[in-house]
Amino acid sequence: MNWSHLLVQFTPELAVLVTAVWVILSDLFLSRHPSGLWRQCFLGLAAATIGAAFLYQVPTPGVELPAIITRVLLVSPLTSSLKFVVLLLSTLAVVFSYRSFEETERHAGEYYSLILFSVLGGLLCISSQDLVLFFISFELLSLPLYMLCGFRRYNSASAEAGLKYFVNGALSSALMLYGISWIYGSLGSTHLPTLAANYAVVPSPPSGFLVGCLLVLSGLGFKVAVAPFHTWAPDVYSGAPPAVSTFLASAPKVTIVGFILRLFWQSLDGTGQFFNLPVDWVFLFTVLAAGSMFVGNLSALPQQDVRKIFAYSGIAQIGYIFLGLAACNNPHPQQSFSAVLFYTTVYGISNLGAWAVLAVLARGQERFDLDSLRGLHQRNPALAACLALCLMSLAGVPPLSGFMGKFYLFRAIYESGLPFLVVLGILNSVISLFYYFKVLKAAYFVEAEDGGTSFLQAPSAGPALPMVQQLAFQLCLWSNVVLGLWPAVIGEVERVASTITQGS
Amino acid sequence: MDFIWLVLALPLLGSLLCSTHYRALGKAATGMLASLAILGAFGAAAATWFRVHAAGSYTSQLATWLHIPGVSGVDVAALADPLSATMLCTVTGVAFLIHCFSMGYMSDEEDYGRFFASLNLFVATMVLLVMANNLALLLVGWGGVGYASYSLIGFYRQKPSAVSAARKAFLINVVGDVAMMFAIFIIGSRVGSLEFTSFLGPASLDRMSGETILAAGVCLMIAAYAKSAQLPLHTWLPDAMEGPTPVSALIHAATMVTAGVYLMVRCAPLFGHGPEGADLMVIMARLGAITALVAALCAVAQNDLKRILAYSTMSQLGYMFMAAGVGAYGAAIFHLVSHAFFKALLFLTAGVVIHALHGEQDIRKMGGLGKKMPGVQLAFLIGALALAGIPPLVGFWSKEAILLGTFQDGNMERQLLWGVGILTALLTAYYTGRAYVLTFWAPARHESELHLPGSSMTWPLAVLSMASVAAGLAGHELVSEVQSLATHLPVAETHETFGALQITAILAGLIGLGVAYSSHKTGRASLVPDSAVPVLLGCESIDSLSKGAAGSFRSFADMVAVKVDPVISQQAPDLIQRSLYGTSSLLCQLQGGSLRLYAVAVLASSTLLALFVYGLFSLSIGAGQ
Repeated sequence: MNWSHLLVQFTPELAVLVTAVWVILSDLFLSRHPSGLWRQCFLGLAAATIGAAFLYQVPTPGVELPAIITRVLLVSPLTSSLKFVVLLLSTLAVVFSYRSFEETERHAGEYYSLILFSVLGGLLCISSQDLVLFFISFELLSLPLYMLCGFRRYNSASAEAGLKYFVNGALSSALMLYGISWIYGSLGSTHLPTLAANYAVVPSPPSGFLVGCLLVLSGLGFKVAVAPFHTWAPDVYSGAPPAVSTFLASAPKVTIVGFILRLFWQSLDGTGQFFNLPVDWVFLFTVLAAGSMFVGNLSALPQQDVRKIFAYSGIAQIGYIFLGLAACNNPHPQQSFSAVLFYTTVYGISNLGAWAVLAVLARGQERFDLDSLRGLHQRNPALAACLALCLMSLAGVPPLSGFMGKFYLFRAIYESGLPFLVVLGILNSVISLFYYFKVLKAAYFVEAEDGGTSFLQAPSAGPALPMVQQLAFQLCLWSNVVLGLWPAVIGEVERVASTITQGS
Repeated sequence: MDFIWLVLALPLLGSLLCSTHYRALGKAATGMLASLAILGAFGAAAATWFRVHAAGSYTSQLATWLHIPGVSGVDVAALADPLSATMLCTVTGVAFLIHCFSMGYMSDEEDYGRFFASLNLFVATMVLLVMANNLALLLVGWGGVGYASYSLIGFYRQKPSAVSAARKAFLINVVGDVAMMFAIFIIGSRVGSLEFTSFLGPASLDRMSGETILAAGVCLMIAAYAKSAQLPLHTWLPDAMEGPTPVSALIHAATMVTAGVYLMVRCAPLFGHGPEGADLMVIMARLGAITALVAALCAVAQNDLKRILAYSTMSQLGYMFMAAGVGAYGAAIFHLVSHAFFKALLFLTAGVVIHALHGEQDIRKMGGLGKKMPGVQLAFLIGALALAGIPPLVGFWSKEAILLGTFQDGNMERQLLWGVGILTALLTAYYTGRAYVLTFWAPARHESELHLPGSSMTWPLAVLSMASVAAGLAGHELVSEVQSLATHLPVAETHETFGALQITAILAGLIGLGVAYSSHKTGRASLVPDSAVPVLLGCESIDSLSKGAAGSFRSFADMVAVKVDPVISQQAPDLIQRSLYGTSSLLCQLQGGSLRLYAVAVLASSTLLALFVYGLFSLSIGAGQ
């Protein structure tokens, strides 16, 4: 037993925790200056990200962690890589929210501590080995999000978004807790490895366990907004401050997809089969996936509000990921795992980049219809380029990362013997082109009303974007190219995926 | 990470900077940057050459590229051996001189940023092609060379002839790319590796059936023929003269047409394996000889200075393929290197001449330039003598190596090929001499004020002249090195005798030059009667054939565009869009914004799903019992 190893292994979580507490205290006692708080939050998250990258690069095999920790928290290549992605996305989201609330809200400091606590919840979610710990960290992830969505208290849309998200979120949490109790009731434990062991010895699979799993899946599905649990998403995304939506649309989704992989494939069953239950799970996931894709893509078509378009596009993208999850249910799921992980990462970054453009634009203007993007390429070419590459990547235009992601995903699905699902996916990709290019058309092919002087000339926005935001935009922009073309990335993802089924 | 990657990285970086920062840099600095990038690449290539010769061949792997089940070796990896090191040095060295020349030649152009960016990209893709250690990576360079040449041949994009020449070059090169892809599919699926050292090893070759070798070999040959402008895929090369002259020099000397020869030599073990490989080599040798002769005949009938040089390139490439076909790989590469020197020299000199005459390219309207530009005249003379194969210039030694290699095995067919080679040499000497005499010696047939070249355009000529004189010294070692690499056999020590064969070749060259001098010194334009010109230009008839084929495709495409396309591209999307919007308005009505409705939806859906799964479960349990 060695407590210093514990400190090393959980550096990211500890860094986020310390920063969160520090930001609260600093806000209370030291300085209420928002940019100082922003800087503390950014530095803490950046340090955590670097720490996570380091832990992923240099795994410490044979380190003996205290049993009390290993019983509830897992450290594996999957968890450390997911933590790195989540922290990176969160850091970027914080960067993009710089200066978003300073003018309008008095309590900007709370924003940063809430985001940090939410990130901490996400990190614990990824690692948790016990359903009870998972539920607590899931709530730690969710509760700050409810508050963040309603962060602009005096704006009725924001307050409505917060309330809607909270009520529906509470309902889904209740469902999930109910599901956990079913699982506990039928297999007698909440500890995932114990559950797997118990499951292996029961003569016939208990039906209560099945219902429990399904309810947990409903709760998780609510969080990632998969149809039919998606109804909150368009209202919340368009009501919440865009800076919050930027975070909401990226890091939590990666977290939850990672936990779905861990819960259903890594922990419950070491073989990669989605339990040996005589139920067609492929069919279940296919229904969820197809529903999401069609609902998301079709509903996005007539929207005029860019935030709603992005919200529906998010629903559709989760559909693709669930399509990949459907393909995980076979004896050799490694390829599907790596496709899902890769696609989730790519989706997280591209979606974040697209939302970030809105978050930054929101500082200079209060409208989000398609016309508000007019002539963006004249007003700010870098923002327009980032938006264009991120949306084209989401649409799956070669050779961007989204295309490679879809390619790996569809190949994995095809090789799992589900060619029909590939057809569904490609059909939906085609539909999605309509609305992605509608946004791009507004940004690129329609001239600005006043020759491009409006945005970023406003006194509140300052003369130009801060350096760190410019760099973050460049990062988002180039990641769409590099993730698709740099072969080492998919190699790493495959390496991580190959460890998923090697026991928990 | 090895410095061989610098050879690739520097031109790429130069290309990127030139294309994005040319405004800030200004004209002179952009050209300087591009040239320095290539100079740096040349330095790295030379360092690679020395390392290879000090420590032997090696592979440098940068990254794994693709994981394809059952196919290994699809990596971003470079192979450094005497062959690739020599090629890298030649490519970057000659390209550097051409870049320096371009700084003067293109100084009046507005679009210098695009020009130097494309030029650097051209070199970078060629470098990638040469240093790739597997066919897949080679294909990236292979296609990249095609693209870069497209953008450079069509550099004057206001000129319709330049644009159509660029399109033609690109299309024919794509034929080669497709053939290359098929070669990759065949080799990848049959051997399971695309790495040269692996699939060309004796063990893998023994595993390949005769049909596989035949199919893969044919595909590789088609690819090489398209890139190297061999019959019948040669028609793009003469048209490629539409690009700026430095581009022609680059295409002909260093970066493009030599790729096919390189590929043949690189894949020599495949062609040297089994009876099928031997058959392919016989075809390669015959087609090479025919290309050499036919292109030389075409060159005789041309009056455009650049087109004469273009056909001479095709003809010399024919020699190289003939050499590869008879197994004289070392001689092929030696001729490739020596040809790079003297052809770059000839093209750049021609560029100076055309520049001086304000764009005049017709040799019938030149003449008398020798007195006004003695240095340029000397440079052209050295290049012409090298091309004609007069000792002691480098062209003599390399052509001699090919002819000797062809004659050596002494059967009837080889002797015939040798005869064709000698005949071509005679014609080569004649048309080169004719171009030289009409341009520099014969009385002037123009009145314009000459536009004399600056020093930035002349010093590369001096360097290339020296290389054309002196490079013959290194030939012997290069030949034996490449030969042993390509055939995996130690090269038998040949006795360099100065016998009847050499004397015949020299005589052929001298006769050709003599005829050219005696008949053209007065300014007479052509020995060939007008009626014979179409016969000599026989190989251009293939061009009209392909034009006819293209025309029929085109009329079909026009028909589709007018009749079929409006239906597919306008009405069908409208229909789809309307139906999609119909569905989506239904969906949007469900999204009413009511919190209670949302909560009910979540509850109802999860209940339904649970019931559904539970029902399935009990059904299957029931069925099981």
